[in-house]
Amino acid sequence: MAIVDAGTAIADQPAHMHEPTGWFTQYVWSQDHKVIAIQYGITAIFVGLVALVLSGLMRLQLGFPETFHFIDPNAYLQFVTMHGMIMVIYLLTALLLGGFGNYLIPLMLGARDMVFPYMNMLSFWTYLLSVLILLASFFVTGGPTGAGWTLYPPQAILDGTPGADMGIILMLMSLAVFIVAFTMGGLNYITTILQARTHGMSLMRMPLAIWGIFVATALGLLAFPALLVSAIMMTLDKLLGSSFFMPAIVSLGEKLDYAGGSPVLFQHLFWFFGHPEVYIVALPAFGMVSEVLSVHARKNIFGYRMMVWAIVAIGLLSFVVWAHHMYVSGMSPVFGYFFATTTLIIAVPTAIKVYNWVLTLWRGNIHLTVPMLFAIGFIFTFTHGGLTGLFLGNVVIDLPLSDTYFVVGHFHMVMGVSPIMVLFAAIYHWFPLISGKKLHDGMGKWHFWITFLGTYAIYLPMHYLGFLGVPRRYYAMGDTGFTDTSVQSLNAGITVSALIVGVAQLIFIFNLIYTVRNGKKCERNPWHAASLEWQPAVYPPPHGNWGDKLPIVYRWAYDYSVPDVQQDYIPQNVPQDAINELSKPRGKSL
Amino acid sequence: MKVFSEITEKSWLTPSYTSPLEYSRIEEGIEIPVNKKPVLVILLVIISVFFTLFVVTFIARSQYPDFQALAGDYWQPFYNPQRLWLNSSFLLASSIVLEGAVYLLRHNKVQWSLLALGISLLLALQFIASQLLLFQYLINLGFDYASNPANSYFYLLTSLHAIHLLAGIVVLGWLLVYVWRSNGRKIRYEGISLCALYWHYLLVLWIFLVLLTTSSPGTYAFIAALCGVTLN
Repeated sequence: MAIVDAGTAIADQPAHMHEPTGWFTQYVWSQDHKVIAIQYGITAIFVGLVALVLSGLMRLQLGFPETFHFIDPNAYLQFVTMHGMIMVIYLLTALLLGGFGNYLIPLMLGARDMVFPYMNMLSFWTYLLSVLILLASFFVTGGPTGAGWTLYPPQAILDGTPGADMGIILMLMSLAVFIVAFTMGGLNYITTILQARTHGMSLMRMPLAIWGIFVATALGLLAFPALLVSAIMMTLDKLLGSSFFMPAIVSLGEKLDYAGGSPVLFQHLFWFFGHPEVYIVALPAFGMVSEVLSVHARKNIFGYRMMVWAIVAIGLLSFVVWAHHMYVSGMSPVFGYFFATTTLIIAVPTAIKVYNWVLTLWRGNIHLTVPMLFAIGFIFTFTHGGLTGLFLGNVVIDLPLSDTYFVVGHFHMVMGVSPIMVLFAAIYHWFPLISGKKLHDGMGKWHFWITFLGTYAIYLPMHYLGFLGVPRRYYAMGDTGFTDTSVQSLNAGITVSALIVGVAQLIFIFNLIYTVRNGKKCERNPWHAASLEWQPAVYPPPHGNWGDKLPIVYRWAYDYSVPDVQQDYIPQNVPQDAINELSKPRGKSL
Repeated sequence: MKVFSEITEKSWLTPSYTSPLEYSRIEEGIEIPVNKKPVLVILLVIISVFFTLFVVTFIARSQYPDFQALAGDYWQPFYNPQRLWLNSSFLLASSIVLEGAVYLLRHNKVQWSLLALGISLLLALQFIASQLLLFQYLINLGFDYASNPANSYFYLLTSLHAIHLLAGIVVLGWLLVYVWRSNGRKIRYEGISLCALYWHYLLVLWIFLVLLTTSSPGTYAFIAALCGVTLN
């Protein structure tokens, strides 16, 4: 048979294939997963800084109303919308999966690259296109959409909402393009994890970071279609006048041509995507923080199998809790009861994870390095945000708290600050691998303490405001019968904290630039980590990662503080014989 | 079950050359082979989710009073869906011919296989062209895109199907040109057979969409009731 060139994928091919041939193919049109990861990372951090500035502007308006005349109600709503959408999708999803997913998967699994490097490259450039479309909406007539990040119809596409002409269309287009990019990347991640693991890397020897990225990617591939479906249908409602989501409606005194559509249908679609999205962001963060905690506490992760199963269970359950975002949409009480129950059930595997992180620290040899500080900070912020989630998961408590600052405080703690904490931990932790240089320690500690304490100064008072009934998404409170004047002072205080935290991120950016330019080369594997990504012979890892021969994996990724072994850790690719030779003379065989 | 035993492995107890569950590929220095078919299967699952979500909204929307099913009363266009089934036959033929092309390729009859690939592509294009003519016919009858949600869904679902088919046509056309220009030395068997799988999938999806859009209001009400949707 002449089936010679049966489309051999990258892993079949010799290591010298796909080698970059010039500056352009090495840094721009690169098919190397590490370069693509950095491209994803830089783009995501850039667009995240835009969203950070938007949040600062929002806080200025809320803290000091009637002071900043360039922030009118329209602009305020646009800031809210763009801040939310950018942070959730274009920063967190892209940086966790496109950035760290790309960087870590092949290295942690002992693969040479992603299985489809060309598609991987395409994924980044499509993502960049989606970001450009999104940013373009700032420059069109009417500005970006101000419909809130949930984009609920009918108001999202009707006159009166800021950006109802071009802004909303660009937003929906950008989302659609992003989903295409994510699907190309996600197919790659899943296939690489399932097929390209090196010799000896069984599923249960994979680091938890990979498990988190794996399940999150599967969630993304199954949940993003719901967003795509709703984006397509809403675009058609807007452009071609169909009535998928649009009911008969009178807008600005004029009866429109729409009739019979169901806005609640959109809400169901949106949250069928929206809730798994929370875990698309959270699961990679769970995985990566497990790595950081284990390495810097010099202790194996507590309950590895439980941690894996909890990730999978959370992934499955995340598809049956979506309507807890919609208790106030007028749903049947039976329906609400069902979703409240599933919401409380999903707290069980989540709590298992939190306990196991704490138990990993217990009697560990804790090194308070900057990544470890951020990881421990994450345990605090995540527990905090998770507990308020239990409040909001119950229908009777959610009804009065819905659409107040309590909700804003809750979700910023649980899916804003917490994944960001892990992202910082991960950047500080893996930066030596990426660049060969350690980020400056002193600047890192300043960055951590200001960020960690600052987020509490921002979000704790918000819970209190929520209990008082202060509604979210209001341009200005004005005089109300139910709030004291101290509410305004508290809002001003939150704004001051938010600005301090926002400016403190410049320390981090400066640290990145400073280290890349002036930092000294650090030793190989500076944290003494056992997982495979730190073990390539050349450092930082070159194209193809592993030189001539793929590594062989002999153990799991968490052999720290092993008794009777000279080093306090055993890398995954060290065979048993080599350890026995390394052992101290009095040592028993393992 | 292999999956079960894999995810219950106590990996902390098994420091050894391979884990007890590792079944093959142990020799040092051997690269890991990769099979492309699962990628396509995952992609097909994603496309299925995508269309299923449309169908769920379709069923819910069909229970609103303004929804006039295209196969409802006898003056509706799909009361007799003959024309739609005629179009479908092009897609069926395309799928069969493509399977034949894969068979010929497997038996090393490259020239015949290329011919069959070309015919299959033309049939697929013919299908899309006939659908466009059907769109025109419907619009001439007054069944505009926006005049009723049933129409909107029909145009939307069939167009999305066509977009997926067009993507397949681009890929298959590229493979055809590639094999042709290599004078049959590089035959890309795996890629072409995966295209065939994709084609069959789109055929099944198409038949499902035809059955869905040409069902009677009673059928929709029944499915909706099964799903617990009773709006009327």
